[in-house]
Amino acid sequence: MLEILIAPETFAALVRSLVPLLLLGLGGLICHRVGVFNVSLEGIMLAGAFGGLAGSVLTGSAIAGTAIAIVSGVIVASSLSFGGIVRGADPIVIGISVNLLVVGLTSFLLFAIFGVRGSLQQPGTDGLDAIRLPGLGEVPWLGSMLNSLTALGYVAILATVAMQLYLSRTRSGLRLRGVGMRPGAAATLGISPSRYQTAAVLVSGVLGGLAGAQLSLGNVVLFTENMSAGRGWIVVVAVLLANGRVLPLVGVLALFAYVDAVGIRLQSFGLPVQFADAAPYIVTLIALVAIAALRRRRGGIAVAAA
Amino acid sequence: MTAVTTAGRRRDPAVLARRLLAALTGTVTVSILAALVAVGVLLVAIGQNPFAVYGALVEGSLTGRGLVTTLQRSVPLVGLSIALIYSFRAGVFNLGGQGQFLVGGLASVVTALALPGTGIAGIVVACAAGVAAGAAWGVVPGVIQVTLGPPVLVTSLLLNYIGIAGVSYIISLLKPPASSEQATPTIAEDLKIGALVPAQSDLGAAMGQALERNDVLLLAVRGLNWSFVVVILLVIATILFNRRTATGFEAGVTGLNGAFARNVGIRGGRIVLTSLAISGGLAGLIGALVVLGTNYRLLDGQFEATGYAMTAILVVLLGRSSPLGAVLAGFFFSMLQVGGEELNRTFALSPAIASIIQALVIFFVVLRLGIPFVTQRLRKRAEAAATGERIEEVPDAVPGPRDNSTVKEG
Amino acid sequence: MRALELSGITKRYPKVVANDGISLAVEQGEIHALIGENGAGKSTLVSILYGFVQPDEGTIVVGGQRRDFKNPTDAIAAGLGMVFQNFNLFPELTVAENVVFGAEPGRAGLVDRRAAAAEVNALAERYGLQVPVGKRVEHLPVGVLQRVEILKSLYRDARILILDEPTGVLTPQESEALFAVMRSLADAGKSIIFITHKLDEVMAVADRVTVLRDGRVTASLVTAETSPREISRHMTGRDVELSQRLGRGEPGEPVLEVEGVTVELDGRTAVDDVTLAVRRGEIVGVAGVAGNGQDALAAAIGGHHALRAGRIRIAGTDATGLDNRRRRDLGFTHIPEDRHVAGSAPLGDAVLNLAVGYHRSAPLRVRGLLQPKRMVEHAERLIRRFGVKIAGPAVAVGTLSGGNLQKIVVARELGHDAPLLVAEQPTRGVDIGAIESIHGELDEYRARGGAVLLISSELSEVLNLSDRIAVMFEGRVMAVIPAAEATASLLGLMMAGVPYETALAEEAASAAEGGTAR
Repeated sequence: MLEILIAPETFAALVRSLVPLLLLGLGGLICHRVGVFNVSLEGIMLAGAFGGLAGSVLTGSAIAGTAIAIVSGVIVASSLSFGGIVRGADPIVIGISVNLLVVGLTSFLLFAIFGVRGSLQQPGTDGLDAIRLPGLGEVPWLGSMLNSLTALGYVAILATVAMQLYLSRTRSGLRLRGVGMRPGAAATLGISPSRYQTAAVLVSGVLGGLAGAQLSLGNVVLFTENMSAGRGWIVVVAVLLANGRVLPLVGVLALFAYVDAVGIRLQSFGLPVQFADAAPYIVTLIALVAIAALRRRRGGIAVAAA
Repeated sequence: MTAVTTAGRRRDPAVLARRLLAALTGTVTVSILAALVAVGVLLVAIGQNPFAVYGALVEGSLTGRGLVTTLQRSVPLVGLSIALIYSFRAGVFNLGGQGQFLVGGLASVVTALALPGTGIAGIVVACAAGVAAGAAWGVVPGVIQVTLGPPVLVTSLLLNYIGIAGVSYIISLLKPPASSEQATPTIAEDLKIGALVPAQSDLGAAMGQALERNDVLLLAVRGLNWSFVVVILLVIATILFNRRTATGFEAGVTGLNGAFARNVGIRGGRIVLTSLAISGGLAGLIGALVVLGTNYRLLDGQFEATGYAMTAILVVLLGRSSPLGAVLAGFFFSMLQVGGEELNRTFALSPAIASIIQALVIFFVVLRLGIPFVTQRLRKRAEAAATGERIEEVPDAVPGPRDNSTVKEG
Repeated sequence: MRALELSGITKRYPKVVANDGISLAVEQGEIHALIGENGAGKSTLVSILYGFVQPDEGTIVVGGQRRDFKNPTDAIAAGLGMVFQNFNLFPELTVAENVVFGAEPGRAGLVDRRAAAAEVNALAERYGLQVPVGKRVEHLPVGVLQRVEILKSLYRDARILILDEPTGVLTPQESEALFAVMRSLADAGKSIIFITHKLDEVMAVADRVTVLRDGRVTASLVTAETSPREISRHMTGRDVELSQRLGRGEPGEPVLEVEGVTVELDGRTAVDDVTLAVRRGEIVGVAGVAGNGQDALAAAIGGHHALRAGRIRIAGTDATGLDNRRRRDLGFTHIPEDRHVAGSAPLGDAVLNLAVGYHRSAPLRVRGLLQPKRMVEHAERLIRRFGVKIAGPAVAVGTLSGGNLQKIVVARELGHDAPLLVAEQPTRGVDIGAIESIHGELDEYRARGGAVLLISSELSEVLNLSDRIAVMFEGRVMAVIPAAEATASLLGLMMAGVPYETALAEEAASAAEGGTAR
């Protein structure tokens, strides 16, 4: 049973659950760096998932579906940016209301457009297939991971590298970090904080929309109500834990994805399904508590109350 | 300067009228209208007549059996909102109502199944178990925040998912082997919380004779159980707690400004733990009431499906953490829910329309929609009336760049 | 040549005319002081000059060209540079990154860090402003931060520098060094607008001075041809300055005893082996540049920080292990540094803000229940007694002016008639009337037998009120001296870390040189 922990299939499953988390996480990270507490990640991803599958069913093309997923994510993100940045509303309250609004709207549209409740799955819907690499795909252990990557998987990898370079090397990245540290100071130098904040939130809409598309078109080809199932909140925690840095974020998310993958695989060995469901949340909670305890012992600042 | 007491002001009819006008042009009213208009546009887009739809919604939720259903739904929703008020008012973002509600329900059903049938005493014991379990579950995020720092906002939410999975697992252990449903066995007959006036009772029979079969009063006293009274008592107790107890006062001060509270001798950590314990305990109590009074057993996923716990967060926000606000907002949201289901039957619309209106109302409320022109003039006039004096207001600091993105953890 | 000319600048807010037809001309190479009390309109004028706020009327002419500043970018482009009072720097970025931020060297959207460091170094050398280019700014001393701020403006080719209350965080000696930098910049052809509310600074460094009062220019004078008295009259509209108030009679037994207290914050020693005592009927002032441990000391006395070492006694009882609530029970009261953050609940009404702390005992709480009507009466009583201008007790205190909000805080704390008060910056940012009234309250409290620890970065306040004065530097108390022996320059030397004996000797030497010590 222990070989599950290192089985290639487990790592393939890890990759499948990591890709959407990573895309969403990069969206959360850029918001964190610009100083916006983005609690709507959950809603953005759910909108993306719905938009992706609905788009693919209606147009017959997964690529068009993905584009619609992006648009859906951006629409949700722009409502957040309007409320939080333009109107200066409480980011937590606005985030929560936006999340609930998306839950309601997706169920409503599911019924209004497709006449179904609960979930939508139509045989023959165009999904995003995993890309099989000829050479590298044959390498035993790595291959099974690479072979589970869809086009969006590669987008996620590129986006990770691009995010790191953007933040550390570019003019705009430096300014964005400055806005996150001291928006007032940036404004005195002619950098508009609200412009950077809005842009970052919209980018999180694009990335979150892609994350949703990966959920409903990549890992499986179906949409169910509330299919994001708290992943957005896991990402919120992960961004906090990584304190907005790219590599630690990848590490934290990979840990979640690994636990998720192992949990799912262990079900075939009689582990109750509830344990697999709860595992990522338990690990998240433990990580949060453990890291806070470590930081406290070192005398540093703990993850402060939001 | 003559002293003006708040009590004296309230009695002045001119002030009262002005307040009414202010309320009508205020954020809440305008937000509700805006949400209805927005959903109206959505309805037109899918080819429905919004007036007909809203008419049916009101009719389905405020008349006859619909009204009774609305009241029935309001009981747990208002109850959970009252529970959450204890934390939100103290500035604690407790998103863990779902878990506390569920754990309380489970504890009460387990207790009820273990008890021999003992009537009222048994009901009290089962409710107490619900309170204890909810409080214990609810206080965990508080302990984590107070001792280590990670915010209640995040940990309480994560605990919901763990609670849902855990309860589901325990239900699977309790499930009778023969049953095909994922549910606990049903509790004993005399542990069920009865209707206000049971049909079989003398009074019930008499009322049945005197009133028509579809009379709302008859339906209500038969359809509502004693949980209704418990929740009314909770509302009253909460008003008193907030206004008349030192702890309630301190919680309110902490919610307004935590740093200030710490500076004037209020023990912040204790307030966080107390409010979460009360919140969790009351949410657990509502869980117990739903199990003992409505469902008589715990079916896997049933509590989550009602959406009560998440809707209660919106109710508290709309009601601005005030108990009476929660009653009004809770009734309004229940009405939307019941009306939404009616629409599903008559117009083949998704009942999700209710949650859309609910979320939109809150969305607009946080945007502080209002008719600023009217409210501003009113405020000015009220001020001029109250003092003969001009109150000087010099901008305190450089009105420079606003730090407009607010929450940054760190 | 005229560098800048403002004419008829007017800015109205709903309740106040902040700037009322202000005209002002600054020559090239001139140091032009802008002086006025809090609330005179300096801040608004600066905001207009730097493009944060647009005037309702009036024109701005820079270097002979009419300009409209819609945002700071326009102002920067016109050659204005601003050095903010509380530094607008990015703590986690390096000095070089801070200086070039918003105008970074590099190509194709990338930042050329090497070029940035080189350019900043060259600039620093040219103007003699030494800074550690590659270091993050978060732990640099304030003097260095100020140089970084000035470099930021110079990097953007500013020809007119605006310094907003730049000496607030400096010792008198550091201020002198800053004045030298200002003079050399002026010699290099830069114009400097120097905003302050301190007369001696105007006399020390400015060529010309414009005085503001109630949003209007009341005088424009050549410094060499005027006197502090004349400027003061234009500032306040009267001759008097804040009077000195000293304790009468002998102080009694100690109410606050701090013995060898050490506090560590974030791994740094914030308070270092501090010992001092405050007795009945005495005000002990704590002078020091902001950030030398005064706030940590106040927090430690309030029970908000655990002590690394030492003891604290309040009214004769050991309070070391007690929390804030128990210390208040012993007779501790506290006016915190920031009235919005820790001194009040701005959204709460006056009833709530004034009842806090009184709500646990009679008359506000009887048989375990609060008495709402008595809470209102209690608020009305304090409002009357302390002369707070407020429409009624049900008004949210956040809508009050700074001075009135501060009076609410003072009323709540002094209303206890408790034996001990720790007052942190009790008059920061309030108008002169409120300062006078608050100083009067503190003085009366002392006369009634109260013990006050007065922490203030306003040297004149400490000198005016205290019976004894402690000077803090880097967490340590340099000395506690009787008010009669204290002069601004002696305190200033100790505020910069010069030990008491040395400072005394230096004072004596400069007095012997014949110059009156300034």
